[in-house]
Amino acid sequence: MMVNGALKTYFARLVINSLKSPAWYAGGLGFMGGFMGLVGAYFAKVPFSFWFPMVYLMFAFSFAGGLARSMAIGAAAFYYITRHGGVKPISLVIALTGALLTVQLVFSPLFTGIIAAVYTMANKPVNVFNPLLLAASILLTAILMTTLSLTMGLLLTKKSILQFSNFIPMIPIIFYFISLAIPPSVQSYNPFSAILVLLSASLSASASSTEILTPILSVLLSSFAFMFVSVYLMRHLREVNIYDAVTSM
Amino acid sequence: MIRINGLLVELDGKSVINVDSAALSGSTIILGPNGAGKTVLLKTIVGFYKPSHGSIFIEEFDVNKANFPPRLVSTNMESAYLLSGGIYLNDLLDIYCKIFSCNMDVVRSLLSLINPKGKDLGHLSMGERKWLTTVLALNADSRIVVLDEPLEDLDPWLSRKMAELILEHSRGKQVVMTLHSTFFLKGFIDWDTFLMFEGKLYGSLKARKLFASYLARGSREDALLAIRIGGAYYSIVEEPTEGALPLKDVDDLTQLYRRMS
Repeated sequence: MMVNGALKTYFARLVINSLKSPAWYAGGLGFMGGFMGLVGAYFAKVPFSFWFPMVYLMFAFSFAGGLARSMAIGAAAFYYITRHGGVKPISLVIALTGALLTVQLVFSPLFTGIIAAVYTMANKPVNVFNPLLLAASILLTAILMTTLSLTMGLLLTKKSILQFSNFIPMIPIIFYFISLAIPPSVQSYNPFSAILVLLSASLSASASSTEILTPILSVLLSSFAFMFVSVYLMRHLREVNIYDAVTSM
Repeated sequence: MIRINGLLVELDGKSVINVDSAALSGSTIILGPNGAGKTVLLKTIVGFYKPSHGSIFIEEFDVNKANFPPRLVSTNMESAYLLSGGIYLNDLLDIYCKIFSCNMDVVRSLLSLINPKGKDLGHLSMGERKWLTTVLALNADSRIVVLDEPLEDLDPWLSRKMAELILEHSRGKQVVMTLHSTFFLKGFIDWDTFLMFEGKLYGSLKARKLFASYLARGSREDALLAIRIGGAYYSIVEEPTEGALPLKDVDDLTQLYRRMS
């Protein structure tokens, strides 16, 4: 019971701290939403249905990158409370996933709203043909990014890679570009491009339900896989002193 | 009881710890200069580092096996408290006190002695962090407390206060801690003491005996401990001889080590 209480406190504090974090407002909403919205609407002059999915993906990747680094830094503490404190790895993974998912689900509509507002100001059409699919796409993106970043952060603690601590935030997007090298015949099973497919489908009238089923399954199955891997890694954590490397930079 | 058997710990391909066997049966001090491998040894005992060879048993449990019981070990190592998300101090205390079943009121009253100004662990001074993490480790409901340099970075009054706290807790638990300086040994005269140089453990001797001993060059038959540093042999002896250095005068083991190696 006490351990559950500790996890509830941790969950609440993670959510509250993230919601109060200036980085989210300046970097996530201000730069990625406001500035990139301006670029798309006024300078690149590209349609909302093209620009939004791309920028939202970048927004999600930047979140995942920062989160992966944060998880790597916290690895020793996670090890300590699971190994010596009796916290179940699966409970900790669920608490972390839940908290980080909540944060993304708060900021994603704000981000979407800002881009839409900028396009509206620029007198560009903001058409959403399937709001339910858009909401589902945002939810699926949040689930995928949270589970991916948790897995990556924990995976990176397995090796002493101190020199790469500041490189960690870039890894998700590198993952994405590498995933584009997958042969076109199996590309529909790539969860990263699946997000783009789903977001684009929600903004255009052309998508059928059969076209979106594979991307949805791809994202969900990948997320479950990442979650299982996270639990496994949480059970086998080691310290890498990455925090020392970060503070000395 | 902590038993170490054939332990080899390598970091970045270099051997950092190489201990044939050692038994830490009671409250124990591991004394050595910077870079001797003390912290790595403690981190291996806690399970942060995995040994390349050998094993560490705490009571009857192998540190690296899955059946290790919770709340057997607590530690003051800072990285064990760096939870992701910039957790505020009050929440950090709440989380760790709940997990390790410590008395929150006692912890809070001990923290009031330093009155930390920072909002989270990252914003505390080195001394404040050391105090906070050591207080949490000592007050955890664990049977063995592993403390890395608990008296470092504290002002003289806090060092004395911390030494009192450690002594008080060592009556009901096994405390294993590292120190740089022989200065603090006199506060723990009944504790077992190991010396550590270049990844090897030498000992144990009671702190009282070590404090009253001398360090002489060469390998001597009457040596309490024979130590090898930088390829040369040294002996810890009870009787003063020409050129032997009284260990009670060696406050800083790092300086001594530099002269010897």
